Amino acid sequence: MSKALTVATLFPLATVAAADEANAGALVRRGAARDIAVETVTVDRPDSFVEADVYLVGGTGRGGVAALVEALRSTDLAARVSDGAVLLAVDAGLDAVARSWVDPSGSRHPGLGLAPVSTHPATEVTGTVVTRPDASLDLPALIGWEANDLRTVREDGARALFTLEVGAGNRADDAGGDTSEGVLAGSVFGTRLHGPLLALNPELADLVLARATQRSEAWPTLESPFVERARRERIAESRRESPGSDWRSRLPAPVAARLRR
Amino acid sequence: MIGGRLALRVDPQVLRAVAGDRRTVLVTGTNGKSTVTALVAAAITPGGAVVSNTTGANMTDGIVTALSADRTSELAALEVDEVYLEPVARGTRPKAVVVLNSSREYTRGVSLKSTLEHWRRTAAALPDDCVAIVNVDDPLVSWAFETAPRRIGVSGGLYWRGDALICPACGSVQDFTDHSWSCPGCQRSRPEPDWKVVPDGDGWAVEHQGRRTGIEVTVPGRTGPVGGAFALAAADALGVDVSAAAQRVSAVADVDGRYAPYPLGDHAARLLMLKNPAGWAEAIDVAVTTDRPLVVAVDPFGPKDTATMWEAPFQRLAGRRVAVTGGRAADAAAVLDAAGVEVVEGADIESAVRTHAPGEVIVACNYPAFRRISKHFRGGSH
Repeated sequence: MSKALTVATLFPLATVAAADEANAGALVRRGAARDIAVETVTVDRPDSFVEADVYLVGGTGRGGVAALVEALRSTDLAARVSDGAVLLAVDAGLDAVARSWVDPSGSRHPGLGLAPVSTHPATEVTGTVVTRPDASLDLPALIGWEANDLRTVREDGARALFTLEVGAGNRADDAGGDTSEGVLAGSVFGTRLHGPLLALNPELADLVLARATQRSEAWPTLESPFVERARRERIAESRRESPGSDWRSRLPAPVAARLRR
Repeated sequence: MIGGRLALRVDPQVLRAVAGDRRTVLVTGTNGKSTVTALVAAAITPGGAVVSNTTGANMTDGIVTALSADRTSELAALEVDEVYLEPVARGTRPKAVVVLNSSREYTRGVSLKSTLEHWRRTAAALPDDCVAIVNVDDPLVSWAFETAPRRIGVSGGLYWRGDALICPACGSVQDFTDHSWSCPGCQRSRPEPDWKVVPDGDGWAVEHQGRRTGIEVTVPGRTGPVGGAFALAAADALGVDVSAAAQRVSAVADVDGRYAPYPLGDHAARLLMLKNPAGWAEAIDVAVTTDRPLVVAVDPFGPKDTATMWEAPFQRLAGRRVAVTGGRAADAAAVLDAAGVEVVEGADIESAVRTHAPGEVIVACNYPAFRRISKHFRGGSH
């Protein structure tokens, strides 16, 4: 292997599981295919924090965010990220590294400030998400799912991580604009998308690996037929269930219920 | 959190009225509740007829329904959803509470921490004559029930260490050996179990106070005899003769259509139903330790249906050939391929089973595939 990377999953037990812990394994597999040896570490206590090239922080719900912020604050995460380490922050993890976040009672608290977003209460949305292909990041249409009751407002003109074909996303867009999802600022990836996001979308794992190794040229094409088929089937299913867009989710619930087949 | 709020709304008076003066055993935990409840019901039978929520309706309303439908049986063996333990314990005033294991669940947004704190409060408020029968191999369960007035330890195994890495009492990283655990921070360690499963000839026995009781359970792998050990401990707590209880436990042929093998020509299919990484870890363990071929059958069940399979240790099956089938066969194939498993696909359950050599085949299903396939087998001509 030509390069070696360390991937650290931070405090996975601090929050409610969002099935996002398979992301580390996905980086190991995709790394091996890209000739990068990836070592994974799980950090469960601030004093076992390690110097890593990629940090993963996630989970869901707001119950654990305060504890997560406190735990992250007592580590060198902020310094590592400003030195260029990649951070993938999922849902509760995104709240924790936001500039500010709201607890379930509506009170606002400072986050670590690593992702230029603030979060605000909103109605609950759950469902499958399909992203639009993004040539600038060399990403095809990706699959994921969302389950949150938050608006995620980007600040300082930061770009969204994705635009969505299906799904509610950040819910903080100007009228008529694309549906944005998450944030991408420097080496910080923030998203609300749960689950084995990098396992189901190996091109996103490639993007994380490229940032972590400061690679600027495109990766050679790499087929992963099993994952691609699983994703193709799920994308097709989501399109069948949400023709055009997620317009159903914008209707009042009783009306939407009548429209279901 | 939703579960907790709902649970608080249920009036314990209603449950108390339908529970009456029955002697009740509650069975809770993340995985294996239905199986162990069936074994407990068999084990405690000679004390009188037993009422049980055999359909797995394990939240307060399901338990009220089961108890109201049978007002005469003097014994009850009840499976309890882990989030509902407190109101059910308050309403039924159990003689024994069996606690199997604890790992995170993914569907309701209930954190493991809040479940453990809820259990600890519940344990402290158990009646003085109630015995908590707890899996001491699980440090989370052990901690949550250390407040119980009376406690008996069963060596119930720990299939899913990932959620138990941190001491729930002091936050230190725990030390694990193959069969034990200890915390360097607060010096807690695995209590010596009062009941444990030991290999006995070709089968298994349950060891208690130096005495061995042979046990046969149709449930494949270690899960069966371990469930039997919990059932015998519950029988003992209710004053039921243990060796007679072991014979009745051994006679349990099936639990909710889950375990009895279905004959398919030269093959026999044993179904397992899994719902989280700890469950999948157990199924993988069964396939590895019994060296049986495996079929993975998964059907659609919402957007997250197969997500947690990615966290299960399928790499233990690397190099083996596993068949996939069902509406989410593509997801199962992707998970297995990533773990280095050779994947073959069957268009239906019969053809998936027949990709393996004749003999017994383990069929690991998610919930909807399990319902579909067990119904198909029962209603079919096999």
